Amino acid sequence: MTALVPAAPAFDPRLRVSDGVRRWRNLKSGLVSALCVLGAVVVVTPLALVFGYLVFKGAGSLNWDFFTKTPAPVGETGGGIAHAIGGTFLLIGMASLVGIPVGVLGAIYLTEYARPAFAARVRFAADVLNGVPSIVWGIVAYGIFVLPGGSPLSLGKFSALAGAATLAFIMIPLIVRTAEEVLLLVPNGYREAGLALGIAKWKISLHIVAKTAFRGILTGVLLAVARISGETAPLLFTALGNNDWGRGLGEPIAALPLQIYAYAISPYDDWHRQAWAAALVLLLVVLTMNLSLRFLTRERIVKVARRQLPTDVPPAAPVAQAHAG
Amino acid sequence: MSAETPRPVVAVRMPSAPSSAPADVAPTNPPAVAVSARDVNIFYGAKHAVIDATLDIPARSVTAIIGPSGCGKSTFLRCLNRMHELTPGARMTGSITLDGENLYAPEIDPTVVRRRVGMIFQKSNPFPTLSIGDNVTVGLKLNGIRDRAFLRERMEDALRKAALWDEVKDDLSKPGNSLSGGQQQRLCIARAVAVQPEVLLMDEPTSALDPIATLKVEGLIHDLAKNFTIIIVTHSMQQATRVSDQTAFFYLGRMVEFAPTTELFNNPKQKETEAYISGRFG
Repeated sequence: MTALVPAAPAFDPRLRVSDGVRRWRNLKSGLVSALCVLGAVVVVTPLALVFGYLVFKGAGSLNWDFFTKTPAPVGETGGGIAHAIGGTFLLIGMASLVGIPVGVLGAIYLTEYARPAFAARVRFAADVLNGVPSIVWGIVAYGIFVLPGGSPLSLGKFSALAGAATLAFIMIPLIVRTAEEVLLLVPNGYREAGLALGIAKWKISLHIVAKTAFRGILTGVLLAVARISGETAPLLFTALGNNDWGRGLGEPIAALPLQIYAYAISPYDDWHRQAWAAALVLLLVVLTMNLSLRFLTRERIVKVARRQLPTDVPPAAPVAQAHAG
Repeated sequence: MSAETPRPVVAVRMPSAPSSAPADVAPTNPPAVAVSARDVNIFYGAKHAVIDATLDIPARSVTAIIGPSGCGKSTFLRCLNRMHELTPGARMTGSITLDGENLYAPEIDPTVVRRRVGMIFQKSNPFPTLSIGDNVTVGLKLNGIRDRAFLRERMEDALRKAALWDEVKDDLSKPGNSLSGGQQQRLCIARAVAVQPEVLLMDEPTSALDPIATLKVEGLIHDLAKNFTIIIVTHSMQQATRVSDQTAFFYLGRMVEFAPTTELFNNPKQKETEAYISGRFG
């Protein structure tokens, strides 16, 4: 035991720790470690449960027709949710087209250009918006985009456009906040270095600062996309849902969450089964998007990490090499 | 630039030892002035950071700025390429000219000033998302230069000038931050050199480096003075004596004394200078 204590020239016996105290400390250390492990398990368990239960309930109803056909008439079994998968991708695509650039550029504006007082207000507004329940988004969007005469932007009917616009509005504050956080983490030294090279500020913001924060921004974007993929309430009031392929962006459109909702509250067993399967598909869609985007941007980072290793681990070695040559 | 410009040069004579110029330059033929500061006052809000600094910095030589912490030396350095403007509440009066051109004229874009007056920082800051090669050429690329052969040529030239070429020539595609600390700082020097500025400002460039890397960068500073006007802020008086041709001593926001380095250290005219360099301070 005493071997653990470094051999100091004159060890003050008052610093000696009794075995009892040491045991108590080890116990505390073990306890805290165990709590951390428990926390990690509690985090992972729901994902496993959700996924496992959806596979258990829904996998049996998955077949080729499910992905390629539209619903069968009431009373007949079979049919699929191709229209809802397509509708979800369309809604996410349109919302992302607006929400991602606006959110990311807004965050760049806040960190790189805005006065701190103004940035603080926008940050507060974004936080409030992120706390707005989705049913509230839905009813407001209904009033603005759907209700005839509700606003100059109203189409007067349920439509894919109204749904996508609502999802975009939900995305923007989410992306602004996460992107802003990671942009603030970019050290000021990079901005100064860029400016000292006589590079225009907007180029530094885009090519250096945003590029450095790219991974974090991507994570924020993925979270926002995942969030809107599952939104149901705002779509109930805007996109409405559709039992077939929609006839255009100005018409009601199906989406996976809406389809799940419609099937789940229906009285038919076959639709209940399809609701489980659709939920599984929705989860897989989000998971696939997440994993594939991470995979696409992964390689470069892994390479960087691997290259950094030799110099990061023993910092003295490369220095010696550098001056030997 | 014309070496014959008859500009008033304050107390400047090329010292023989560390100078890159021929040792027998006659004192009657003073070198051209690159940067000329007149009555420069800098404020941070209510704080008067630099008071009435007037200084003529000769071209193609190394000028050191020394002084205790908080004496305004870094602030003064940063206003030479208008970097101080990035600090909220910073304000400057007086004039600074580069080759006779007023850097603070209303029609002058600070971006253009910084292209002519480069800067090296205390903490090396190569861009982590760029390769070693791209770190060197980024200043040119983001200013619209696309010619690959030209970029390649400039990159090699800059890395050679920064004494880094032989160490990195096979690793140009590796990330800039994969180098050691000293190499990273030389990479930053190469990056600044690649845009071919006239003046290089260095803000304590070696304070984060180990002694061997420091010596390497100091040797480099000496070589760079053949092509660039170098102004270096340093905490280390030893470094000032090793690298500079002339030294300015700042104290409490004032430029106390400016003289050839050997003269300033061997025969200081002001009592504050003497007190500082002999280590009796406060």
